[in-house]
Amino acid sequence: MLEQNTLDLPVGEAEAPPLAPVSGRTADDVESLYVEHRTLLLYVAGRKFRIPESDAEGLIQEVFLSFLQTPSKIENVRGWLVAAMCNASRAYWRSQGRTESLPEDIGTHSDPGSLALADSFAMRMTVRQALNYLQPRCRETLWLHYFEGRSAPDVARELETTTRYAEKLIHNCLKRVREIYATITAVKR
Amino acid sequence: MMLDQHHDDETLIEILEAGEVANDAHLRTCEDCTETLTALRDISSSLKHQDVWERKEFDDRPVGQTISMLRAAADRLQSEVGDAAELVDELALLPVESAERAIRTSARFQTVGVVRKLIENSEAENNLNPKRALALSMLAVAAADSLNSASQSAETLALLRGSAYRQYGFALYYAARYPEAMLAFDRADAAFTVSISGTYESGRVAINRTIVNVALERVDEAMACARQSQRAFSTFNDVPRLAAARFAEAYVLLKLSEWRKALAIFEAIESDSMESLEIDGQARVHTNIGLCYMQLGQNGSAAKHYYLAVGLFQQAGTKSEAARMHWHLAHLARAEGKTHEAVRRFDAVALEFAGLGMVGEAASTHLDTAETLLTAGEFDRVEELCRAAIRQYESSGLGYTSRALAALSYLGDVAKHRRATPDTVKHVRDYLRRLPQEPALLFAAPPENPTQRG
Repeated sequence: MLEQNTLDLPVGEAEAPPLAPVSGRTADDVESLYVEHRTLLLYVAGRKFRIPESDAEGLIQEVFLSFLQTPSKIENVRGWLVAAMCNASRAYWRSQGRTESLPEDIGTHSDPGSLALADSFAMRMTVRQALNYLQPRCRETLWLHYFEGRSAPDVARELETTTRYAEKLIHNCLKRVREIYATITAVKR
Repeated sequence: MMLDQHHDDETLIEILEAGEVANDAHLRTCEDCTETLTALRDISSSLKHQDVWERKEFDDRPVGQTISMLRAAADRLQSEVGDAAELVDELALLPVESAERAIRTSARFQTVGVVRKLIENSEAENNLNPKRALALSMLAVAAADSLNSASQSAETLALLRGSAYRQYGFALYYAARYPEAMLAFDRADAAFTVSISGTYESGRVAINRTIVNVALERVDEAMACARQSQRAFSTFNDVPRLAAARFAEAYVLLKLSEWRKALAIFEAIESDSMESLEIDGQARVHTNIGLCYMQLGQNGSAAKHYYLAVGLFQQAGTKSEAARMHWHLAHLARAEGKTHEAVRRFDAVALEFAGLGMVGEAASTHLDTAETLLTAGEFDRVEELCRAAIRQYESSGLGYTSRALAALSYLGDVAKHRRATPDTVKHVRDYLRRLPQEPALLFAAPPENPTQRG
């Protein structure tokens, strides 16, 4: 029955979005999604959750099987896969709890509440790749400043140079990483 | 004239390191420099994480064995769903009880494909035929519960059982069986607990729980559920469902008559997420923005959004919802004091509702017309409108028809003697509104105002 302040039900669930057509998840589709996202998922498992490489592939398989079977229509496949990979990694450590201790830094890895979780992992994976192209001195500078959080004068002392030059080095090295990053992502596109 | 030059990378890094981004005038207006600055900031943030510094490489070549396994799983699923279509058609020919018995006793119905197909068909019937949607969801639950635990993976069982119970709960909600709906949602969540993607699926359950909690007037619980679903969809970076979860929060705010707060959420959805929504969802955003504006007395803005919603609902082929928008527009005309236009619109909407088989709505709209006329002191058509509403109920076959007729007959009687007032109409309409949920409710005439006596 109608009333003056009839409320409209929330979008999405009120209409119970239809199941993703199964034809949309053919063997070819699943294979190409696996090929496209495997490296990122491996990165999430290996680098973020410290899952041994020998077990990470099994978790990726579980994630894709869940993806195949979910009756929900998935809008953001990459975001969904990464979040599911996080869940699978946590479940892995829970199941290993009796025989192995958790990595010391698991706490920092286990609550990914960020809206752009998948984007963040993809970015870090690419930055890691970009660092491989840097000169050792540039790597060391960025490590000292950004990872260890040292100030420019501190970096200067460590590198036995002037503060002004250390500042210049920090700026140039970060600029260089951005250039390499842009080149890598342009190639990927 | 001086040109406002772009910042080079070095300058941008200096601004970033000095924490002066907010104070830089050029950045406020230059998209290019802002984009570069964002990239530099994201990269420097990434450099703070240990994983980017690790040198050990991993083998990132796809594994052939995984590909074969996934391809086989996809093919198997497709084939099972394909086979299920005929089986589900077969079940559709049986009475529900017989179909349920067949599912529980015959292994050929106990397949992943049958469960998926039943859920799919039930979801498709939600708006068209809620009773049918409920029956199909019951069968989906029966089929999911009958799946052989030994031959299916825990993930498959979790997802299918959870999804079947979620749809069953949703169908129960449509039937106004709220406590049972909540129990079904509990079963769904329990099943999803063991799934890798369970938090996502439970996010969908949480949206449904929000709606049911609102119906049960448990506002705090409803708000908690809306926020739970937002967290789930944020983690999975699912923009349309996050919009649905924010929508659910706004829905709770509407129930609290927090029009401005709700409007702020709906307008944020309109500006941030509209493109990610399907046409029907977009229409509902406009409907609710219209509702908020109407409640805030901004009738012009309300009308604008209702008209946008009409267009979208028509585009989506949802005639019943388009008719409801016309009903809102009629109310706006009345609120603006345009009595005759409002009456003309209510009459047209009542015909539309009747044509769509929306008996309760058609009858209620006749009462809207009656109320509008009485407010203007016009008694002539009121008795006739009551008779029209009575005819709607008589033809409906609804279980509570006799009680509805008693209330409408009372109204017709007082209208005949020119003793009806807008309040009398409201009293009857409020009673009729409660009847579907409380079919045993008896009608009691309102206390009569001495000035009304003839």
